[in-house]
Amino acid sequence: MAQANEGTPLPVDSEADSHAARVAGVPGGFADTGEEEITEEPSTAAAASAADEDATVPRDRSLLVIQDEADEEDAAGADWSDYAQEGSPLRTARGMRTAAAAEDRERVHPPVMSGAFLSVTEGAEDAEEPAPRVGLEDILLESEQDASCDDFYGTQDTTQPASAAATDQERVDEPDAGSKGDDIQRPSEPFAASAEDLPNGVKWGTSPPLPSVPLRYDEGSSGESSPTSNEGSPLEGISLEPSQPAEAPAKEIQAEPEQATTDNGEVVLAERREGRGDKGGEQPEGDSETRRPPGLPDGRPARNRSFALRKSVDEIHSSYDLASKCVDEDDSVPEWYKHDDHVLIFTYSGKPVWSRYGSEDRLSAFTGTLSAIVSKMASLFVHSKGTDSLRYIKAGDHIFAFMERGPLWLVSISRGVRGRNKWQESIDALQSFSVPSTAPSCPVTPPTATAPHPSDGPTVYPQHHHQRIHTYSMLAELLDRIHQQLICILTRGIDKTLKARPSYDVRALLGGTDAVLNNLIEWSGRDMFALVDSFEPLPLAPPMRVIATNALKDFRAVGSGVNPQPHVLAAILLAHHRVVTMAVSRVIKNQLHPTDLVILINLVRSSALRQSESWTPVCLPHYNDSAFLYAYVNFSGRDLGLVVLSSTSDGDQFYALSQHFHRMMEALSSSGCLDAIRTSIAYCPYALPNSLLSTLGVPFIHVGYFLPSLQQYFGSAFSRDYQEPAREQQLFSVYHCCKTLLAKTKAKLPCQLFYKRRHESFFVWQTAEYHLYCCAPRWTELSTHSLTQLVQWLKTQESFLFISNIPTL
Amino acid sequence: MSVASVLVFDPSRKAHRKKPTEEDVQDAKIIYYHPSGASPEEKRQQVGLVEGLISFTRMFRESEGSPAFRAVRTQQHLIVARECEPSIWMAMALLHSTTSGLDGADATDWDDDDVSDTVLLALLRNCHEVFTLLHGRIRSFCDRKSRLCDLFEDFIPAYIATIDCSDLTILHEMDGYHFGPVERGTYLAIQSFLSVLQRNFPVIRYAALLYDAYLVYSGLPPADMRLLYSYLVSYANGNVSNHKLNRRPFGRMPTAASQPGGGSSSFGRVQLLEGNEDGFIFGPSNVPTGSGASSMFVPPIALHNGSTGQLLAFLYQGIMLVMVLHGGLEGDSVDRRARLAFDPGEVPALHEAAVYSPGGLKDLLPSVHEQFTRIMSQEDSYRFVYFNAANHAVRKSNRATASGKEKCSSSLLPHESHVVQNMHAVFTDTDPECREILLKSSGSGWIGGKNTLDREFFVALDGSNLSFTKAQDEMQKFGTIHFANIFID
Repeated sequence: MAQANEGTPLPVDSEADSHAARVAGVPGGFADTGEEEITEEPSTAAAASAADEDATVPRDRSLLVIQDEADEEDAAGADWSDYAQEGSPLRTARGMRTAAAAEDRERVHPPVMSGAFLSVTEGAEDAEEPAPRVGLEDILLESEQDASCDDFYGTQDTTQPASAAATDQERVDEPDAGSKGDDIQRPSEPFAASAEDLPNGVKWGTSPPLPSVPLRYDEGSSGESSPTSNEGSPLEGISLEPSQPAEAPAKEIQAEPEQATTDNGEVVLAERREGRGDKGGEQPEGDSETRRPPGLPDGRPARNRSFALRKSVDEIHSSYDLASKCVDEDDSVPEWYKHDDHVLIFTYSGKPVWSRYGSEDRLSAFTGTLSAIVSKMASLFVHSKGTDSLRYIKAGDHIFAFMERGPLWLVSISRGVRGRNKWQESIDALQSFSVPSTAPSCPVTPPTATAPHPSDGPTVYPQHHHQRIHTYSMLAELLDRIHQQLICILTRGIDKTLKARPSYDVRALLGGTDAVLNNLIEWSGRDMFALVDSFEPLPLAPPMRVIATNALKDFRAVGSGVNPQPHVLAAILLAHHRVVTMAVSRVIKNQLHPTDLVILINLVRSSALRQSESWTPVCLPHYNDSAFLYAYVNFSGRDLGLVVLSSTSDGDQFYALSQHFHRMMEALSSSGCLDAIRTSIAYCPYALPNSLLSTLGVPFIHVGYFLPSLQQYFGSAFSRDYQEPAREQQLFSVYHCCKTLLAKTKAKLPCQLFYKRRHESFFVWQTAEYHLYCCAPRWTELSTHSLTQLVQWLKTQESFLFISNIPTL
Repeated sequence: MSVASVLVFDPSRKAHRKKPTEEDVQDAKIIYYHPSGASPEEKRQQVGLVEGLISFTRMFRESEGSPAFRAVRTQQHLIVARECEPSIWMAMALLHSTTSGLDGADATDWDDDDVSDTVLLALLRNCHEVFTLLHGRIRSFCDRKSRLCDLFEDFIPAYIATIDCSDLTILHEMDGYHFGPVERGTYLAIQSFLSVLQRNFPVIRYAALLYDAYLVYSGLPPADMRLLYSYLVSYANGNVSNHKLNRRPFGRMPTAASQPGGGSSSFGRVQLLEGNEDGFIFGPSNVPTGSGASSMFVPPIALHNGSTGQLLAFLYQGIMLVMVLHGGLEGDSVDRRARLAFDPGEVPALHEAAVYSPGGLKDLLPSVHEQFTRIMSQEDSYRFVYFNAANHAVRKSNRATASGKEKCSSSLLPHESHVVQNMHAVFTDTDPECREILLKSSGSGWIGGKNTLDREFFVALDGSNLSFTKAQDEMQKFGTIHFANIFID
């Protein structure tokens, strides 16, 4: 193996540029040496590459996927030398084109949204694009695993395997399993007991009606003891029996439809097409997205061109559609101004870096204007001596939030709902009435003799469309997160480059990262991580998590004789965006900031990295914002993935990690842990058991529970009426509003906030130990008793919901 | 915090020169800039920026009628702008206070969240309204720019001097009346008395009666009364006093120049009174200097209906009688009027009749005093602030704060006031669908805010150990006490 930097491991590169120079030969050499060894791996990607050879699509320069095509050497080499010359912190290598092509396929062919669990799958894309077989292989692998492994919960509940088998049969029989699965994802009114759907008083919101095992795991019970037992229930009267009707699990597994149905990609395609055909015609009842126009919660027609939000949070990362960027728009098009949430990044010299909507190329005049505004604001007053910095502009119902980060400016232009200033309106309304001026005690004003003026008359406000709540602090947090994501891709080296060369065009380095930044924005509005600055673990029974952790951190050398552990800084096992388990090295211990983790997850899940085994440089801004680490990324199927952060870009490290991945998957599979994880994934997001809700007497719409000590949170599923992206977004924005209110009033812990809106009541309870965010219909009575009970119940579930122990490697 | 600048400009004004330079174009737009000593460059820059922001943000407007640019906040400043008259914009900039760290300038921490933009916008609006009240519309000075500048030169600094930036609260934004409670009979007696007075003295166009700065009866159009009430007795922090204009930072001497046609503004100028003694606020001098028009100070005012009037007001044992005298030609510019529209000799007779005639103030005083005191001396069972947008009633509780030290000076403690301000911002600006908020911070009691129909009230509950359910009950109880016969959403 040709090792350019063989020898001294690089714990962390202190300087991006010098690092770039140091490892300049690595990717190429690595790829060279890797050819024989990886050849057996993804021939699929080779096919993809060949298929997309002629595709005139932008190339993703930030990604590096290990491939084995020799014909890409020229392109990769050229790119690499470009970077080296530019002093860019980014590197590319062979296979880069494949990665870009793979991602572009995803863009060009928008995802099929065929169910809560389905979203887009590689299988669907693959089916339309002939070449790549990655998704299919993964699907097959998954189906084999499904078939071979004992269901963890099945060991507790004998109904489960039978149901699964029945489901398999049903899948074969049901050609449009995808759309049917959708029906079943949101089976019934979560809070209204329905004997057919869910007996025993247990209801699950978005999850298939599997047994209530996960939320009832009893501390101290091993895998053998039934976790679904109602014994020792922390809340008396909560019924959490495991028994399930035979139909329910069967329907549930339809949600993962094609995996076991066939080993032929074409068949999968046919089924999916049929599923889509169904959507075009009669829509399934449960598919709320098809029932309502996109983006609006109440069925009113969309009033702007903002694209529909993706249905499930889990789908956000896998279904970015480049069309939503509206690349044909710019600031000369009136439609461009009508998007709800613009985000723009530009340099202090006014050059556009990224825009959420429209083509950056054609927005330079607009960013030039923004740049002029921020520079004028800095020196608006002589006494500020050019040190002032713009925060926000309010105009009409828009907030323009600005954030300065080194040579970069980030701007969010967000349409909120402007408050109707009752005082002013009443005054104006009174003034507009006319009465005889002779009436001495007349309560209204005579007509004005002067010409009426808009500012004097009643202010005309647009009717309240769906409420959008935006505060500056919320937008500022978002911009800060976007900046960190940018640093994750580019490192702080970009600051130095821009300072040295103000006219430098950063866009070249950001090719293909639209999905990453856009997904972060959408995800931020629809998940709790943005609220509490932490990450979400996958709920899992502790013994299973221990098995997973042991498998994850077992970096013993196998085969190659190389032990990757010395260079491994962190290993993270992901289930969608949730962390199953993780282990960190002593070097990084206590320094792995939750935000770093979140942006890393967003990066690997948004890009082509999740489509094949990859090796990519990433920067963790809170750990070291001027250096790259290397991330080994490998997803099994589209839901379960391993991310290992390594301090060295050594080729051997990749192979060692690759072997580790396979060994880990084997260990997970043989122990039944994989099934437990997949079952848990199927449940996510977990809905609170109906029995609990009825005990509490409050049909909570959503509950979020955050542990500051662990920096982890749990977010429940939304109740059925609120499983609408725009509604979810709105509820989270109210949480943000509550949080901002507590922060602005400098509330000391423990503090509580009750917030009642037209239709919902919210309660935020922040203590040093936990933060509770919950929302219930307005007509229900939230009480100290019910809230305390809820917290107590959540506390009993902590071992199941959270990763209590993150081992050191 | 301090006011950094006040800007009045007209983007439509053109330079008179044939080939104006860029500076000329910008300068022509500036009507007034405070501080006037600022460099021309700074003035131009601010006009350019505000104008630029107006046109920039206009691109995002949904329709022509949509509200326009209103605020911009930087690390160090808060700037609000408002089109107060067609094509005439006013902007006000506030410099945030700093809390300098120990390490000097580098550690300067700007307290950039102290005043909300809605409160500052309300202040800017009030500034324009008071100017309009005393001098007429800015547009009416279109052909006399230097005259307008002189007026602003006097008015704006005097107005700024009265702003206590650290004490700007939502009550200033609400800008309503504190109503004085009297029984029906007394109310009718007051109405009857004022009608008789107006009949006997036709020069009186409107009259209003206040007791202890609480509005008891008003015959003025509501918009004019609200503005006059705000000018005569209301402080920005929501307190009211009959002697507001007689005390610093008001209490400026009436001068000849402050008469119509002079170069000064009549803002904050009253006939001075010693202590709490009775006498004219607007009218003849309280110091016997002989008779004559020179000692008469009846500032002209412009009413919302476009007519003008002159203000006459005096205090009698806690009662303030405010009268708007006929001001001559309708629609006349306030500023052009140099002559009194009535005989000054009539004023002592008017005062005599108002106080001592049967059914006059002397007769009314005991019942007004007794009924007012009976209600107002009752301690409220809760500490609260209430505002009704329909009739602009403002009510602050008179209950002592928990510590008992700050009795009645403010019904809410400073930190409670801060919370209330933020809640109000949520109700009016962030989330109009929000109906109720209850907040509890460690070590202090619950603070509840409710936004229902046209009413908004905030209650500070004593007792830091109250549970959430109990706090809800208390809010319920408060509603039952005060709104038993009103539907509360």
